[in-house]
Amino acid sequence: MKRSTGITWRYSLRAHLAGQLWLPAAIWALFIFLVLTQLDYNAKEIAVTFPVVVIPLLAGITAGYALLEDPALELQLASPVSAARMLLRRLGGQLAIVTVLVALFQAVCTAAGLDLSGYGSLFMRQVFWMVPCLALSALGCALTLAFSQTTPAVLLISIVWLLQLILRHWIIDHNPARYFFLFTGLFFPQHPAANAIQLSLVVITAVLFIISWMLLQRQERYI
Amino acid sequence: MNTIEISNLSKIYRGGGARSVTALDGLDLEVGVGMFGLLGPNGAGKTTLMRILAGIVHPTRGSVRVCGHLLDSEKERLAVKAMLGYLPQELGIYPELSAEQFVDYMAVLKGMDDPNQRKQSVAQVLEMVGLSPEAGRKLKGFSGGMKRRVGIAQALVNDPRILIVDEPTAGLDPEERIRFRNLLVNLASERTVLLSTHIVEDIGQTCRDVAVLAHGKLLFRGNPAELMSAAAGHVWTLTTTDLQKPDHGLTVVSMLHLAEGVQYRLVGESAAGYPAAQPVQPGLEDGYVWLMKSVGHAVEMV
Amino acid sequence: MKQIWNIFKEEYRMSIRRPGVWLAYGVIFLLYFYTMTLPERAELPKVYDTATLWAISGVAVFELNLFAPLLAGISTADRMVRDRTLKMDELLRSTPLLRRSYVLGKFAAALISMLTPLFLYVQVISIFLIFKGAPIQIVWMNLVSFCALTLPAYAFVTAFSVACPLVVPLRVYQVLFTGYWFWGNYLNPGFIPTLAGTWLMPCGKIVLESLFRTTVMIDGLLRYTRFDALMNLIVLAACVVIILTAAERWLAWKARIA
Repeated sequence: MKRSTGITWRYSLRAHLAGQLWLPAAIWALFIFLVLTQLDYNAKEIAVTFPVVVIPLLAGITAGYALLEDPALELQLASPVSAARMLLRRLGGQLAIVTVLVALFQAVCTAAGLDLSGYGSLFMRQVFWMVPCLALSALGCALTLAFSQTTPAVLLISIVWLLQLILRHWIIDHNPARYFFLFTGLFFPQHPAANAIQLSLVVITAVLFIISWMLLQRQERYI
Repeated sequence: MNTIEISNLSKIYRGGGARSVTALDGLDLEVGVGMFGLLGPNGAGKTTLMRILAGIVHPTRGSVRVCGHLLDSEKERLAVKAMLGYLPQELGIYPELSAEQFVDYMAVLKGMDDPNQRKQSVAQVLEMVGLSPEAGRKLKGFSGGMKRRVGIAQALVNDPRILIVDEPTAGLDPEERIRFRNLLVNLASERTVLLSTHIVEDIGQTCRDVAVLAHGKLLFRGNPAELMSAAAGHVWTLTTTDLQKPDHGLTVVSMLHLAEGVQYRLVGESAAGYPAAQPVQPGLEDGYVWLMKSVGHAVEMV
Repeated sequence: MKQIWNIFKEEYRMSIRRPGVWLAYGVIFLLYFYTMTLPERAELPKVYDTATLWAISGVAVFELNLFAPLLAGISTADRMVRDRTLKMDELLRSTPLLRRSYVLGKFAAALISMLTPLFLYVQVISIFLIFKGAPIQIVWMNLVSFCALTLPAYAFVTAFSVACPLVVPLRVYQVLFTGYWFWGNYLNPGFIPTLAGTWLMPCGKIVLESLFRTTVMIDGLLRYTRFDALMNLIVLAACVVIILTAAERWLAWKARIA
């Protein structure tokens, strides 16, 4: 990795990401509090809710803002940074932050003695939060770029998130809806189609990122 | 060899419903090394042209070649962006960064990977625009003029072969404007500088080559002296105590309240209706106004 | 009043013309309509007494409060802060516009613009129900249900959405609001403490169960009394007044220190 890449990340953090740090950190702190105060009750559910349900919503909504809510957007677009790199840079920083927070959160839960093996192996538990997080980020990106503004994207992300939460039983019981279900890791970790669902989400995420990349090349739409 | 070659360039913005706006209409233009001025009324297509050259906007038709790169693929556009310095009309900044950090960030984005070279270059451009003492201050504390100077600095940091500046002196005081004009002229000795501005004086003081756009079309291409001389015999001054502004198809370019009355500077086909009108040598602004009038573009001077 | 009306007019015009919002509402309405046509719901009762009609009307309108307020909350969150981002606030402050007129006008415009698509949809529901055999009075009953169930929920949501982003960054508010809507209305209080089931619950479930004597819960139990409904409406109204007053005071303080 070029040294300048590190410098770009540093500036990105200061210019774009610093304001985005405190919200996930505050929610992280809240859930730590909830887990530690509910140890005798439903701490396990709460421990899985944070990464599987809350983090994807956060990532989805902030993905669109990460791309277009930039005071120097025209300057950025006029710089020799390809669309792919711009996507990677903007979203990568965000995803790095949530990864660190989830890792810390899981460490605290482990230290608190919570046994989450009922929600899958350690590897699968990471898949169960990372895949939905990437999926909603990709959706947030694609929608923001498609609409050239963030509000419709935020609306649709929130609807998807809420609908999937409330209609989870219907979704998981119906083909092909289940292959779009984001919260398998919390509600149905032992479902026979759990792995297939994650795979399907990965494919959808890839398609959405490709669409985002194609849309981002039409730079004039965003200035 | 020309740095910029534009051939039959058109750009149509498709708006909502059936409305579409033709920002550029079959433009042919070649620009070499040196200062090149772009004049035109609002909506003439200047900013669209700048953005096409900066690789941000894609043309609807036609071709653009910059330093041998045809701007028809992302790869070619990226290559041009790497050798470009761009100062947009509406400059956005990151208020949390200092001037030095902001320019450094832009330098990194432009591919300047060598930290030593970059540090030197950042210091140099900040010195050029007179911001060295403020280099460590956060941009949110900067005045409008200072922000503009930071914008100029970031455009220069990668020692660009082509410098595109859109309204660069907006918000600068007269001293700063003169300083900046001189800076651009110095830079233009070795590179192409494309200057788009409403301030005719800036063009007159710096550019040997001028183009005037209106409605996306090229109306004039030549040097400022040619633009001025085209208006010869069509510019008068008239001092009058009459309260009514002169008309008869004449455009009032300026009004000055004097002791003896109001002195108007008039541009038009003929001042026969005003026997007291005195013909004068046209300035660049007069030339511009006359050009616009002669192609039927109404120049509203209130 | 004139100032409020002028602000309301212009803001309503700007707010109602957002295609993204209409698209999002369209998606929700299609979903709602689809669920209304499902076999288990398509059959309406043969006998329409008043109580049954109110129950049908109440449920049909209440369902709008499940997801659509989320759209309202997110869409209206930028209505006041955009004056700052568009650098209009300085211009507005240089006019003789009263702050309270500004806040009330913005709130009213945001609220009515969000209620407009819902109002239209309620008429569609009325027509659909009439085609399914309901008597014509379902039209005015739906309007009453709209006023009793939808209006309080949206007033509450809009007031907070217009005011809070003055203090909290917009995207932060949108994330928190989305989470709040689920937590405050649908989360089982046994899971983590929540506002669901209290007088602060804005989704209209308390009014539905106590005044319309029907419920969407699977167990069919009616948990709330008329007093609960009254307190719910009073508390929501009080919250609207408090938050709008706080917004006006915040703007006053910002103007003083500027």
